Amino acid sequence: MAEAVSSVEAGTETSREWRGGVSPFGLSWGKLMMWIFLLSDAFTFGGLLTAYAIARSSVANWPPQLEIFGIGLVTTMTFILICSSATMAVAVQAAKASDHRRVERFLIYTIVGGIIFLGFQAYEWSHFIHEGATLSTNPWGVPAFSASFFVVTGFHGSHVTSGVIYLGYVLLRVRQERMAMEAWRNPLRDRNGRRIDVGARVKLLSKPQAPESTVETVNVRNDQVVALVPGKATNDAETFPASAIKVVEEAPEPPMPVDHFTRSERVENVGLYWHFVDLVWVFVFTLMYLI
Amino acid sequence: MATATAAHPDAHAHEDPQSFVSKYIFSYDHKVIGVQYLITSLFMMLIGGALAMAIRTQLAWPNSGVLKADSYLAAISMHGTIMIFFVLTPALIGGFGNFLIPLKIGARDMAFPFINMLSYWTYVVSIIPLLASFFVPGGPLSGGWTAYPPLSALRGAAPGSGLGQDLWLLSIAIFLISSLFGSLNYLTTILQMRVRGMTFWRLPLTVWSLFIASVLALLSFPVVTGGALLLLLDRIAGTSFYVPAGLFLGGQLVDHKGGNPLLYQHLFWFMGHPEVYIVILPPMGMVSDTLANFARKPIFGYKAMVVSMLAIGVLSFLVWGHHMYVTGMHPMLGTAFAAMTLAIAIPSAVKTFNWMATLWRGKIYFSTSMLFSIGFISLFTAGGLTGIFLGNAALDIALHNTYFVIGHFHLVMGAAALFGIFTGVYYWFPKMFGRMMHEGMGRVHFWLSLIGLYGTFFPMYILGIGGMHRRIFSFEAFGYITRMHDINIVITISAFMIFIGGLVFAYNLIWSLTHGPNSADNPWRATTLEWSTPTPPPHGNWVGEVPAVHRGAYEYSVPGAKDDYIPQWVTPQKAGVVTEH
Amino acid sequence: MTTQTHGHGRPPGTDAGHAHGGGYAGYATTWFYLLAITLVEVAIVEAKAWFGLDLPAFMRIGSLIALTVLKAGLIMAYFMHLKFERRSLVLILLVPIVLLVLLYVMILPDAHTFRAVNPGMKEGAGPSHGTPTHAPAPAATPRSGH
Repeated sequence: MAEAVSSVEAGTETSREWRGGVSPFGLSWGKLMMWIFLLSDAFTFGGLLTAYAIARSSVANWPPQLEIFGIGLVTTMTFILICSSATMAVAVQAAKASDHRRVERFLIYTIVGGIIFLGFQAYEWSHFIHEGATLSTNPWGVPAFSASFFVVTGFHGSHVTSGVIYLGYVLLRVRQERMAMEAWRNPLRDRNGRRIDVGARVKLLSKPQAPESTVETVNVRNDQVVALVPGKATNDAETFPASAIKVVEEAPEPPMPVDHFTRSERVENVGLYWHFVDLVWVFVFTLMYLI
Repeated sequence: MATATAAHPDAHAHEDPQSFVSKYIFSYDHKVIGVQYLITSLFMMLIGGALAMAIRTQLAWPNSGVLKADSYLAAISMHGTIMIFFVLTPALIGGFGNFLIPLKIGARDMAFPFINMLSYWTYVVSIIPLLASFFVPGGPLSGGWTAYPPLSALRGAAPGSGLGQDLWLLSIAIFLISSLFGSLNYLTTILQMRVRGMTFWRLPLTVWSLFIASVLALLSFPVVTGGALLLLLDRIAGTSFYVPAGLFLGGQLVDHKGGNPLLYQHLFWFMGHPEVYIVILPPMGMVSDTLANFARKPIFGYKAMVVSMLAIGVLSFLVWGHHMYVTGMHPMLGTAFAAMTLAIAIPSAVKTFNWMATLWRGKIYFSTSMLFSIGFISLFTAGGLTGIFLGNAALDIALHNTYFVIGHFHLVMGAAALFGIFTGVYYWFPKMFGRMMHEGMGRVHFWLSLIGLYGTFFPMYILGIGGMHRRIFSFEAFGYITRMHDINIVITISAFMIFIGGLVFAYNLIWSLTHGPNSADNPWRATTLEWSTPTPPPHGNWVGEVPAVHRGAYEYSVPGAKDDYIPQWVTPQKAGVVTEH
Repeated sequence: MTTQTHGHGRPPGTDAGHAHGGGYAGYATTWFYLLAITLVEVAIVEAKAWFGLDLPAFMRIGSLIALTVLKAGLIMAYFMHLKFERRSLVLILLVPIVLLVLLYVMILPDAHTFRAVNPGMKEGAGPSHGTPTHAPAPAATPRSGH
């Protein structure tokens, strides 16, 4: 390789050389793994859809599925899933723009969309089963008809379900991190504007002559400080409002909480997964219901 | 989801494990996991090998009473399943993949250590239902390792079609999950974590081969996951994906209707054929490394080697139908698959000739590892050439399901892959445990194995052409085969030689672990990055900084250099020679 | 190592901020197109009932598949941001998909042979059918492979 030779002659590595540690695709580790996983999962769906297509091509008399499925219901389901995919995309964009509250709102919309979709699917299944369809037989003809319907939509539905759980987990983490970040940005302060952090030496305004005590925990949201009261047993802490204490000596400023959020990677990954679920549905919708 | 752990891909890389459990049992360290994989799969090899001995005893002495008709079918099915899914795949991809990938690319661990540990333990869990199936009523599956329906789909079709078949499906499903975890890890690690200077064209061929094998596993296994799911539903939920209408079982009409049994075979072999390359590509890579080292020459045609492996990888997805010529598959497909199959001979031949050219005029040092590497080429060629016969649809109709096929695939993917594993163990044992293996015992092991393998599988070609059919437990009723009975006895004696060789190997492992001479950091005077670590490598692999890479992986006997090898991590100034890679 | 890891989180040159994806409005456009295409698909299927148009099967199926691929392309390009990733990633992700098409194409002829010889299918027309009297078809008997 030409550039390698020149780098050897120059005795240094040229800038075109592989620097190590970063991706040839410009992706982070987690995102690359998500893509690889989705590729693999696409093959699972590919195998199932092929099996369905072959089962269907193997018989001469496939039931007229358009008359059996409610096309209005399925189209509504498709609309809902596409909408939830769009809200997911907005959440990802908001995560990249560090618009934290919008991320949470749109993640909730996405979850709601997923749950409505699952509700419709449950309704569709129960309706179908009520009419006499099971895995082994159905009233319209070849048993493979209902069997492949249940397998393909069921496998997709299980992906939607795990997607909703995954989204809920991400929502929870995003929320936790936003609160930790907000608490770090806007710490409790005493009257003189000094930070009240864990480890700060404080005095109680109500008992100015009592010795100093140390802050144990700080609850920013409830405006509460838990401090040890000197002279008592170590585990005997009391809770005070921030306005009741005066900081004598500030604790060293705590480090910024690790901000996964600004990297937005967690939201992007769940986004990829959710869009993939939508993508599969696009194919299921056409191949299972329309054609 | 898995990405939850992705936030801190190697958060554990720096915490040294303390307790015995976190150090050796639930370890996150890729080296420990690799050794765990190897030991577990060698243990499984013992079971699979014992089954093989029972099968051979039955065929040589049909009246010995070792196996009955039912248990013979169970034995061949379990032998195939264990050897392919639980020995070769985990030993090569899980064992050597885990141990070598981070060391060879200069990473401190895998990208996702936790998923890595999960992958190993999922594999262990998948073994449990498989071994449990020996003890259930009806015994383990007996429809062959491919588990074709309707034998595998109808509960009463064969003794093993009941609970044994269920457990087999469960075990394979768990194994496929474990394999997915592994593939995700290997691919991400190789793509993202190469050290400074380690470009794709400087990767050792071992890493290339593991990379391509991981891609094959990633894309082929999920299809059979879908296929196995449908088989399971056919068994337990009464669906008819694979069971055709009008089938009679024990005089009773089967309730299923409308399934297509060929569908399962297609889905299965879409995984099954790439699987063959999943187990043969890593040995190809490892043997390339050892051949170059012990011949003290650069590998001949490095880029051709990589491109031919890529070509094998792509083609392996397009040839699955050559397992199905006699199933009633459409003749047009037969032609297409035959053409693709013959095309795959080209990259395979490129590789074989490149290995020979690497040996040509090299300063060959016949260590045990080198012997096994050369044996690998020999076995791969002897087995691979008959693949051209079988890839021809017209010839395959005559040879299909005879011992010709058994001889072919045992040599090309069984014996050759096994030799790949032995090459790797003898070569990297010093890096794994800090001790050298006993060369004398290694030689005994090699000669017993080589003569045993050829004595076992080469005569099978003759038996196959003579018409000996596979999966029949006694040939006493077939006069034309009993006339060849002496050959069967020779084969069985040879098979026992392999087994004894394996026991020598096992003893050698245990002896070397405790008594082997201590190894230097780079005992083979090799160029690749794993030899720059202390022996055995500590947690995190390198003390201090990971060395940068300055050249390709095969700088042996560079003209003008003072040593006959220049390791990848030596700077150009220190080497004093300008190299081209 | 840990700090290095964080460095990997967003490699240089991949900072996909506002510049990419066309912002929120871009998503709205994509969303609108996806819904519109879905409606078109339904209209094609219901062409006979709604417009009295009797489309031949190849046109109906062909256009439906084309529209589905278009929808999938829109989702991958805009929602999954593939349009803004490197070309190599797009190629590497799309090439294996060809394998899936091949998987189907290479099995399809067998499905047609099977249809021709499978005895069960002739009676399989109705919801309840009697005992098939035919013997198992030759193609329905699998043989073991290697």
